[in-house]
Amino acid sequence: MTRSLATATLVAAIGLAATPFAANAAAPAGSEKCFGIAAKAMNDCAAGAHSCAGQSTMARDPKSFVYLPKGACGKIAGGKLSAT
Amino acid sequence: MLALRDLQGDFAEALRGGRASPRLAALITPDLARLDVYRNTARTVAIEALRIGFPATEAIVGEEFFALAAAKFWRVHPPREAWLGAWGDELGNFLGRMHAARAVAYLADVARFERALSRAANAADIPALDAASLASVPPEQHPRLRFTPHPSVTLLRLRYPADAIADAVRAGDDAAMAAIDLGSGPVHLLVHRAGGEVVAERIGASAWRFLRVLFAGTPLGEVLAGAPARLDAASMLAAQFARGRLAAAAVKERAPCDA
Amino acid sequence: MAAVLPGPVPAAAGIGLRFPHHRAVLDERPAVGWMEVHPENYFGGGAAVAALEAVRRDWPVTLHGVGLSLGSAEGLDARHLARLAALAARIEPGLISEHVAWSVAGGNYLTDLLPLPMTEEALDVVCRNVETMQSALGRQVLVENPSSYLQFAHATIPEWEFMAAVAARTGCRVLCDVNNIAVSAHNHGFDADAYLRALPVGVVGEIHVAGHAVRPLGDGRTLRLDDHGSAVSAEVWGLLMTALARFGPVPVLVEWDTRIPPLGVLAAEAARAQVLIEEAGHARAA
Repeated sequence: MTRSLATATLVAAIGLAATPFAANAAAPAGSEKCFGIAAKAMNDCAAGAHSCAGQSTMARDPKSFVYLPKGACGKIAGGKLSAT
Repeated sequence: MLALRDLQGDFAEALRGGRASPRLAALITPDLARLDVYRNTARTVAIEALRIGFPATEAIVGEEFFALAAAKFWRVHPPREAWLGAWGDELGNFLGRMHAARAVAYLADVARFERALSRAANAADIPALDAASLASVPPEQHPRLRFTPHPSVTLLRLRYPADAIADAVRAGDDAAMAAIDLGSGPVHLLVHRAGGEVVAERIGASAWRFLRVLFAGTPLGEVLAGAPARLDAASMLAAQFARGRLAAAAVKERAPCDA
Repeated sequence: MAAVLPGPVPAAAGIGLRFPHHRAVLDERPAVGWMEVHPENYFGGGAAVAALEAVRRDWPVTLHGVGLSLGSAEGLDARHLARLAALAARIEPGLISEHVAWSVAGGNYLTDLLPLPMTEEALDVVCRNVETMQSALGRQVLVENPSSYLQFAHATIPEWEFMAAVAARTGCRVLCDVNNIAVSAHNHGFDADAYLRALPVGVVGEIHVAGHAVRPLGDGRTLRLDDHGSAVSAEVWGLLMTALARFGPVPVLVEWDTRIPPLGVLAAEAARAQVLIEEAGHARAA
């Protein structure tokens, strides 16, 4: 039973994969989005050795106490800026 | 004399926010303040690498808060290899546990989503499994076939609509941000790279569960036995072939669990 | 698919290829002899490697590593070496280089090129790691002299001797970064020209030039920072001429990593280096 199900499914899938149908069958719930992810050069930063540390002779520690976030979060419906 | 291995261990500790040990401090000339150049550079580079990988996460909380969170993350979860593209898997969970980030409940989900995008963008160029190559597998072996997903594939189940949030935030689209319904329920996402493009697709809950089991390397017979009857498994499987989301199939050895 | 790729790296001026210029390089086709990239940015797949392959079809490319950590006492990361070897097989670079520095301790990557104590122990470690690198890649590599901001009291070997010794023991060559020499000579008070005179002729296979920043230390003195964020200084151009006169015409790279200018500015810096390389060639021939 399991074997015939597996065979039936796989054979059907192999057949379908070769048809234009398969390209559209993937999104049963709808929305699909391409994200333009720019290729990222994370290691260039480390490369210029001291390139990214504009003020590297100054001790510039990010604050160790808590700041409240203040970016775009307040623009999102239901987004809150005060801790609860 | 301080052995090089010990010197490097002490130096690393001092770099990541600790103090220079007396035995290290005694060796540094002309003065210990010079260590700050390296400390600041290392930290700044680490923060910068995370900014590159998590632009929407940063935009949500702002530059200053993100730098604080990134510096803390760097101390707790430093990169384990010099390929920074591989770094950041734990940032979502880290932000989720960070007390100061609690006011932004969806922040961790956005970071998880952005990490999946980066993984897809950076994944190795491994050819997709050609469905036709399976035609020669004897039918009695079909139930035991295990599939390996393409390395660019990540399945996410997120409480908040992080894909829509990231999109709106990156576009700076105030109207889209205001229209987001944080209570719309969990989103099931399939992120992968197809034809050079990073694609994030919302799928249904039952499709998501089917793919999670499939991508975990479960034998096909078990995958199908566990699938709900209304799910068109053949079409689901066909779509995975056609979209290049599978990298390998094998009958015996356990496929690496990646999903 | 087996297209013939451009041949070995010429004794000409090249530029460091960074992501912001991937498109511009293919559109504007700058008149530079070759391009150098940081292999760590191409350890994955996708668009980045595709862009590099497109560039490689038209220019010789070199791989200049920033994360292998040749100075690590714990040895090299096998995954890193394997990725580097795979990229080299794919890109067929003309040269592969790394830094005489360390950036990994306890398995953690420390996101900077950190200074080594110039000791016999460190020399042994670097030589062992260079040998591992060369055998993993199946080829000779180049190692670059570091820029640094501090020194260690127990150092016993002058840096120039350390560099020469690594090359002599391992059969690798030296990537002579004259900007790094200018930075370190200022920060530590040694003579940059004497450094160049101490490097054996024939061992230098590539030269780097770049800009550096100068920061006040608060006590009237200044510290030079190797930020690769500005035009090459007059002093560094002078060191390049000295180096070319001594080592002969070799590939010269202009590096620019911070506040990256338009491609044209970078190409103009390379054109300036090209003139100096050709002058050095004529002087030799005469």
